[in-house]
This record gives sequence, structure tokens and C-alpha cells, in this order.
Amino acid sequence: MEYGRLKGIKTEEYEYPGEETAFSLVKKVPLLDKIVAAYLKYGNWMLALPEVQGDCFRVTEETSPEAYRIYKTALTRLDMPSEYPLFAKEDYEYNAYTTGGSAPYIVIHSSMLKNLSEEELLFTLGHELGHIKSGHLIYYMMAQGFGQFIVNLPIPGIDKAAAALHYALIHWVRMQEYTADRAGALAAGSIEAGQVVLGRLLGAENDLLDGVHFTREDFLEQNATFEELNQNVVGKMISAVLIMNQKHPWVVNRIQALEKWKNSGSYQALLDKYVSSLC
Amino acid sequence: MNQYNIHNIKINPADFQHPMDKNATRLIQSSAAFRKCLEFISKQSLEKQMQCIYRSSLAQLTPKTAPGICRMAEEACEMFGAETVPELFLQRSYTTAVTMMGIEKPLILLSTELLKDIKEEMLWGLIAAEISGIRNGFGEIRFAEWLCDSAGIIPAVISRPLSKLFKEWHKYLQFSHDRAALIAIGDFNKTMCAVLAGEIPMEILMRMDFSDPNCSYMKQSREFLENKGHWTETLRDIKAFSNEGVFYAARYVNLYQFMKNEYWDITEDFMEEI
Repeated sequence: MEYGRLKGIKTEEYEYPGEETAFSLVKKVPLLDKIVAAYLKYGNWMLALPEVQGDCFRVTEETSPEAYRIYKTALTRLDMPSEYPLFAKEDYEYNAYTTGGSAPYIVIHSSMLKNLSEEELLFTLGHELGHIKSGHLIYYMMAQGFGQFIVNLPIPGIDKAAAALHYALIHWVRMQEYTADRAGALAAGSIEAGQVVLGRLLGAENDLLDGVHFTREDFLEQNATFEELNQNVVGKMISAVLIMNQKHPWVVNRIQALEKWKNSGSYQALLDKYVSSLC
Repeated sequence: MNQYNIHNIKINPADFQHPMDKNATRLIQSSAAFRKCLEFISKQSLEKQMQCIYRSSLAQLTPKTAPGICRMAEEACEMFGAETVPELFLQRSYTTAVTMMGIEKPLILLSTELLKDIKEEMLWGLIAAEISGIRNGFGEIRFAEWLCDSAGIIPAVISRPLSKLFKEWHKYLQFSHDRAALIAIGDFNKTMCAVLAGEIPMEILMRMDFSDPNCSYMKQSREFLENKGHWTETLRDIKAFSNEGVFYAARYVNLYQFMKNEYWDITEDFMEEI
């Protein structure tokens, strides 16, 4: 779907319902605001920038005009207040991430720039911008390394507190991915494009051997068979243990969550609200 | 070989399993550590965990998304008498690989890169080769090996003694796989192309005739393997010891000998002269 700026769109309008619930758990952690402030000031996130600047190339109008144009479209659609550096890294795996603490920047793997359609790239970049827009970054980075740091402090009982903080953060971080997927879909103007990108993460490509062909319905069916595995107590426990330390929800669940959002009518209602106001 | 049609083959893979692979498999299956490992897998519902990971994170190939490949798996199960048709999954990877593992519900992982430029009949051979391993018990060995490699899942007291056995087994397993691929494909040249797919670009493979004993690759392989009394022999043997698999040269010569000596006897009942 073609449109311009979703002027004034707020993250609360498309936030995944589980994110707020998970955040209320995180907020109960004592001294969290102070920890966040300290992390922003002294965190190891500052170490990552030289590495990115040294090993990746910056996507600009000059280096990759097409990718840059798409990035600008994503920035505009999500009504981002400023432009954040976008870097491309040579890598076969499909991945993109946002980092940088209080000065965020995005890194996207070259395989995505090479193989994804415009809509799919808009989803991917919109997903990353969604993390920035929602202010997810600091907590995500803390979840990455803070648990291990705090557990080594010579304070009795700190390991239990660290574990509680770690699992609360990581659960919240997983919920954030659903919100970022919604931002991606808004940037792309298409839920389906997001589902196809997530399908690609599963390995589902359509340029393989003749006769191999995937559609979003296939991913939804796979999610249903996955959920069948989790029907009984053992299945539920296994699934819970496996996801406990993961920073991303199961890919098939993310595809299903986008479908659910579309079917709820909320996605279309948002577009109706902001797109029609442009006309 | 081309003047024959091979049809309706139904063979127990144990009938053509390479003797060295047979010994290595028996050694693993009879070891106390392996039995303990299987017990641990069953107690911890580890197979179910594996299914959970794959179904949530890899694209499943179904009769709808990949009808041809699913048919291949079904036909290979019929050919080699495997009772359960494995579930097939696609993994985004730049290596060309196909791997089967699992005990009650085996699964096969195919890499995206493998499916990019391989010919259908070669893929058929590779899938059939993996499925031939189900009846030989390779699925449980592979699964145990995978778990032992995933740090911390299997207790070290079990995984350490097993890892050496797995390493040896790996070297000989490929000989049996190559035989199964040859039986399934029914053409030596195409089988070698399937074996080497991913190692050598497809356009070069398509120009080769591996069934010709005078072809350059046969000369190269024999020279490498028969290089006795030379310092390179020592280097070769050191490398062979440290490698996880066997040299392609050895697989090629081994399969060629199998084709010349045993292949006809094994497939005789299924041959129809044109």
C-alpha cells in the first residue's frame, strides 16, 4: 500500500498487548531506573560503534541509492524524529539489528539488501525503527549482558536478584519483538510482506528447486502444527524452557501474531486513521 | 549400466552397508555410554525438544510446499523399508548439506544452498541415502552425536567417551551412504555428481564422466590414495586421522569398486534389460 507519513502515530497505538504487561513486571525491579541511567552512561554499547564503522559500510544516497531511498521511506512513514545511521554488513544470514544506546544506529546484513523486495525491506527497516521509536534499545542491550555482569558482583544473594531481573527483561524483550513487527508492517504498508520476511528467516525461499513454493498460509499452518506440540503439560514445559533464554519469540508465533493483529481490524483502523488524514 | 532399467527396488540397507561402517555402528550401539545416552534422551524428552525447535524455527517441507521432495522421501522409505517417513525441514545455510536424525520421529534437514542448483535426480539420491540410514540405526546415533556436540546437554561422563566413537563412525558412514545413493539413482556418474555437489561447481560436474576409469578425477584419486613410500603419504594419513569425514578421492574409488564388484549382485533382481 502506498502512503506517506503516518503523522503523529504513537507507539501505544500499535504496541503489542503483552509488552505493557511484561514491562509492569520489569518496573517492579528495585533501582531499575538508576541501573538504566548508569548503563546509558557507562555501558559497553559504546564499544560496538567503532567495530561497525570499521567493518561495515554506511548506506547513504551515494553508496546505495535504492536501499537509502527505501530507508528514507520507512523513516518517513513511521514519523521518526530523526535519521539514524544505517550500516550494511556482508553476511549470508538474514539479520538486522539496532544498537547504540542513546545514539542508535541500525545494521542490516547484505543478504537482505540483495534478496528482499522493497516491501520486505521496508518491513525489516521499519521493525528496527520500531525498536528505536518505542525506546526498547536500552533494555534489550541490558538483557544481553547485564545479567552476567551483575551475577559476578561480590554481594550475597545478588545472583537470585540478577536471575529475576534477567528473566523479566528477556521476557519483555521478546514481547517487544511483536511490537516491532507491527511497526515493520506499518512501514511496509503490508502485513503479508512481514510474514514473508519472517518466513525467509525460517529458510522458506521461493527461488529454490522447481516445485518448492511457500506462501504465508503455509507458515500459519506450520504454526498450528507447532502449537499442537505444546498441547499437553510436557509440551508446554519443553516450549517454556526452550524459549526462556531467547531474545526473540518463535518465528512461527510472530507470523501468527501479525495475522491475528490483521484479523482484529486494528491494523486497518490505524491506517484508516492516519492515511485518510493525509488525503 | 544405461542399458538397464532398475525398478521397484526393495532392499534392506544392511545388505550393502560398508563393512567398516557396520563395525563402527556396532561398536557404538554396544557401548554402555551410548545406551546411557539413549536413556537420557528418552527421560528428558529431548527428541520432543528437537521437534519443537525445528517446527518453530525452520520451514517445513510438506506435500503442499514441496510435493516433489516429499514424494522422494516416501519412495526412498519404500525402497529401503523405513517405516516412518521423516519430516523434512529447510535450513537457510550456505553449505550444501542434508542430514537425517531422530529416533521415533526422524527428520531430515536440507540446506537452502543445496536446493539452489542441484538436479532432481541427484537430490533424490542424497535423500534416499539419508533414509537408508534409518533402518541401520543412524538416526539415533546422529541425534546422540548432535546432542553431545551441543555443549552441556548430555553429561560429560557420557558424551566424552562417545565423541571418539562418533568421529570414527563418521568416516565410514559416508561409504554406506554413497552406496545407497548409487542404488537409488542407478547411475554411477550421476551419483558421483550428487556426492560432489557443493564441493565442485555444477557446471564442471556436468562435464565429467566419473564412470570412465580413465577420467582425470580417477587418475588424481588413485595417485593420491596409492602414494606409498612418499612423505605425502604420511601427511595424507595424518590429515585422514584428524578429518571428520573421508577424502572424496577415497569415496570415489570405494564406490567405483562397489559398482564393479557388488552392485550388480545386489540389484540383479530388480534389473530389467532394455
